[in-house]
Amino acid sequence: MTKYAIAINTGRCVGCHTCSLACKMSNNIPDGMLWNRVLTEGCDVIDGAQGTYPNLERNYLPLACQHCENAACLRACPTGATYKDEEGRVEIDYDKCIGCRMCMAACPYNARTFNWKEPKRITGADYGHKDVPARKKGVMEKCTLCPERTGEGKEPMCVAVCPAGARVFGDLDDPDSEISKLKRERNVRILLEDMGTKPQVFYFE
Amino acid sequence: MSGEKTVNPGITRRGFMKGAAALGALGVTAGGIATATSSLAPTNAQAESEEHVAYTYHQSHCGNMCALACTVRDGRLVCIEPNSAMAERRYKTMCLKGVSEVQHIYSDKRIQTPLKRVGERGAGEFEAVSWEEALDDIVSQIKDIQQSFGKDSVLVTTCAECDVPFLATILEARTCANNNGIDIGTGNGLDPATGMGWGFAMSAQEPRDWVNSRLVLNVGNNFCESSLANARVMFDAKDAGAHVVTVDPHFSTTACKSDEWIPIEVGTDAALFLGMTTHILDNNLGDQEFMAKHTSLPFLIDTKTGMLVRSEEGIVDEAAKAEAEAAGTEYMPFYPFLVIDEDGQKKPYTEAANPQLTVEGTFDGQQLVSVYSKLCESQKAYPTSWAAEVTGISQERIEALAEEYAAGPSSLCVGWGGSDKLSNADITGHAAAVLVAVTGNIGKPGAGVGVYVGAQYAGYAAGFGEWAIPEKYGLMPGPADLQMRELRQTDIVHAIVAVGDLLAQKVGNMKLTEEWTKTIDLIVTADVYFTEGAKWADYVLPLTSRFEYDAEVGNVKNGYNHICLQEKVLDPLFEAKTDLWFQRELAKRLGYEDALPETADERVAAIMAGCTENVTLEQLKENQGVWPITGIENPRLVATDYAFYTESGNMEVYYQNLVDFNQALPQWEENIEAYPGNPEREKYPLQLTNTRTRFRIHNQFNDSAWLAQYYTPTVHVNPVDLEAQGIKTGDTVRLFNDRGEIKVAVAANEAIRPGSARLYEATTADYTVAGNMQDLTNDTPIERGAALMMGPVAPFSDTIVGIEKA
Repeated sequence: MTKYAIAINTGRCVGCHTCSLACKMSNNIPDGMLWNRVLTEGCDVIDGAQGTYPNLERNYLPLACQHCENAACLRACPTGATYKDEEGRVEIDYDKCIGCRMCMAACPYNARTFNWKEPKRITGADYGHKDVPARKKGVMEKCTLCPERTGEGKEPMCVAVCPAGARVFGDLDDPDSEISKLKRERNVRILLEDMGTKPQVFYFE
Repeated sequence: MSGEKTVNPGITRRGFMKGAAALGALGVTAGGIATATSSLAPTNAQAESEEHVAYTYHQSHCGNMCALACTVRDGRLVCIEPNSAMAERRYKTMCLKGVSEVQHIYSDKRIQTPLKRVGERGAGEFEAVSWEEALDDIVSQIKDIQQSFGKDSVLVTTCAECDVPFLATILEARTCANNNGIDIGTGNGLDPATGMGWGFAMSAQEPRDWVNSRLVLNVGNNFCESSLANARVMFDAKDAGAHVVTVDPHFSTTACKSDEWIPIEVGTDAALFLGMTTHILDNNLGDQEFMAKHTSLPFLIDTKTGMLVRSEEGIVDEAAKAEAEAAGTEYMPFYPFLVIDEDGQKKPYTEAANPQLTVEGTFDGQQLVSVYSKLCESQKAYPTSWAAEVTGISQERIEALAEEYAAGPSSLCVGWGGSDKLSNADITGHAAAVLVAVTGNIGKPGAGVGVYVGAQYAGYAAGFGEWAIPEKYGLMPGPADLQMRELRQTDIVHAIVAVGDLLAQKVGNMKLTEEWTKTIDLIVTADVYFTEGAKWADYVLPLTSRFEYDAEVGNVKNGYNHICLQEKVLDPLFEAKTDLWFQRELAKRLGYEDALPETADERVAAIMAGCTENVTLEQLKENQGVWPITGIENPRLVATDYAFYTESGNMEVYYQNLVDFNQALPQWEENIEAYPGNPEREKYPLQLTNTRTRFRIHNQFNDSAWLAQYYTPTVHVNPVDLEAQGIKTGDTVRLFNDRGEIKVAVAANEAIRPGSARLYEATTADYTVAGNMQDLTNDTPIERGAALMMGPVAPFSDTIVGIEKA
């Protein structure tokens, strides 16, 4: 079996948003929506700091779909539009999505984004990978782990572009993969672990 | 902008649950901005479309110049990713600015057609004209102006991202001196010591060498934002065991990713270096052999004149002499500096076995002191207790840092962006040079000094040829003897041809620049995007972005230790023309029909004809437009033979030309405005820091809608400086001083040093609520400016402002 996952070295993340914007580009994400965001933890402004000057700390947290093993969104979906694919990714069948947004409410990571209106693109045209499926008004979307790219032997776009080398993509079912080693050997942070969602995306330093 | 856009959705459990509202706050106003090119291609099924990949490079001015693979579908740029043919993973990189080009090159701020001013200058009223009409009139006016006022009454100003190397020559026009004082602050003080760096402190080895450092001391740089690809190199160094310490008034992105952040009072980097040097000298932690053999510290000073003493016997370089005689010029032998040798005798330093450092006394009736002894005397004013008081860093921390730095090997990263934009930047550079000289932290693995920004600037470079303008025309560029700030006070200039922003980039105190431009007979702006400067032009001409070309290839350059080819990605958009076409059309109208290559292919052939690497254009094309330069397996080091490019060949820290300013050795001096005790700070309590960011390269990308999802111009201020006035994140504030005022959104941010306000560079009026950042900035030249290597610094950050709710 295959269980694709992403590991993020938060020690290396400089909060540059390159992963976020490259994701938008590659996946033809409409205006006003992002699948992948970089948060400044505990701050109400981007690039803020926790504490009081000069005793400060700043941590960036890139956040997208966690491709959970026990995905709350999947359990909430009444039509089976959200499903776990053979490579272990959580995916959405846009044709089956009825726009009820139960998954959006269920996802504790706020990783899903909804096409409230007819998708608009400031470029006036589509962009990104040619095989990324079109989405229309009334469907949910989120990080797919770029099956269009991984199918061509490439890394997901966020991993390929990261200027700091903070992201690792791989198969958690392959014990010899770099990502499996990281998961075994590093002090790993799982977001909202007590929710029992078992994210496949994890963080380390 | 709305304050909303700076709002971070948060990561607390509650933050996750805030859901759509928080996500929406990040969004662009959907459909709110008209696209310039919505008619170019329909939104349709992508799978059946024609698609190809072309290779080019991105902007160079962050010091990176990422090699890009660009997917074009049905004539539109749709995807950009790192070029997979680069030699190593570390070079296969790009940042959010590169990604944003998929939207940005179609921005509604593109100049689409030649424009001619119809209203008052500066009013921004234009009508469309043809290229033919515009160029005919421009050249006719330039001819008249040059006939009346001389060739040098025409000024050409360019920016680093354009490609107009022939423009000033074909117009025989003057250009601005010394980059208008930008990025030369630290270099002014550092570079005379090493003879390297070109005045820009570009004397560092490649940042990859940081893995060999025990200490990477980064003072006033934020390369994790301004030169994003350096982030990877910094983390590699940390992984290899280097101790990365960042000194910055603000808790910058680089500071928060370093092993340690040392907060410092604004504009006091020189005081830190002076204090460290004193501690090293007092405790004999220096590198005695390096000082004696490879610096000017043993050289002797005549105490009466303050000048270095030289041998009366000159050293003659026979080859150079023969060359001079053949050329009919006078040959001057080199009269070597004198030192005291171990035998107590005065000798040329070139003949001394062991030059003595500590010397003070009368020799042959002359009162002499060594530079070293003079330095020790000079440093008495700068004990670490003093440095602690000035910098706000504890004495213990300064001393421990000095000890760690001296033990080495240490990289000292200075220049650009931070203290480089302050009035006393040359003293910072000079004090850094002294620190390096006494510790020998240069010329070996893990030890260097200067600007470490960017793989491109400090990396390997191939030599290239260039198209030569035929000699028959006798064309030469005009003088480059004055900065724009100085030209602004003269009536020399009657016409300006600007490629890139003219007004808002080069000089502080912008109201004076605006007044000056009203006196100019002709202003032409040629650019990709409509900038602040374009508003003041008589003609605004559309140039292509680097993704568009009218030939198969546009240019060849060095970047990331590779030779990189600029392939045509797209045909020119709108009526935009290439930089080369623009120059050629001007030349043609001036009667220099074949002065420039007819096509870019012809020019690229000339460039490649002089290429020092064993590669052809065809091989470049076959390898996705990139080719690794010989030797890049190891980081590029500099001055490994300790042969410095100075008169003596040693590292020279005693600046004779500054004796009259009491700066032959670095002496502490406050900034002009930005110092704590300035009585003006009662009115203007905040120092305005002019900072570089990951979201811009100077004024580039101001108009990027995709980047505006993450950042729109906002001044960041520590909450303690806002609370007193009841100002909150999201409010609009008025920043003001005697020079002007602007209105801009504000955010409270603990990362900002109390007493400072941080705004990102090149914030122009179209992106604030009102006003240009340069309306506020300081343009005062320092007194010793003219005596410095690169002239006076542009002290953009030596600016104080008041703040109130707008």
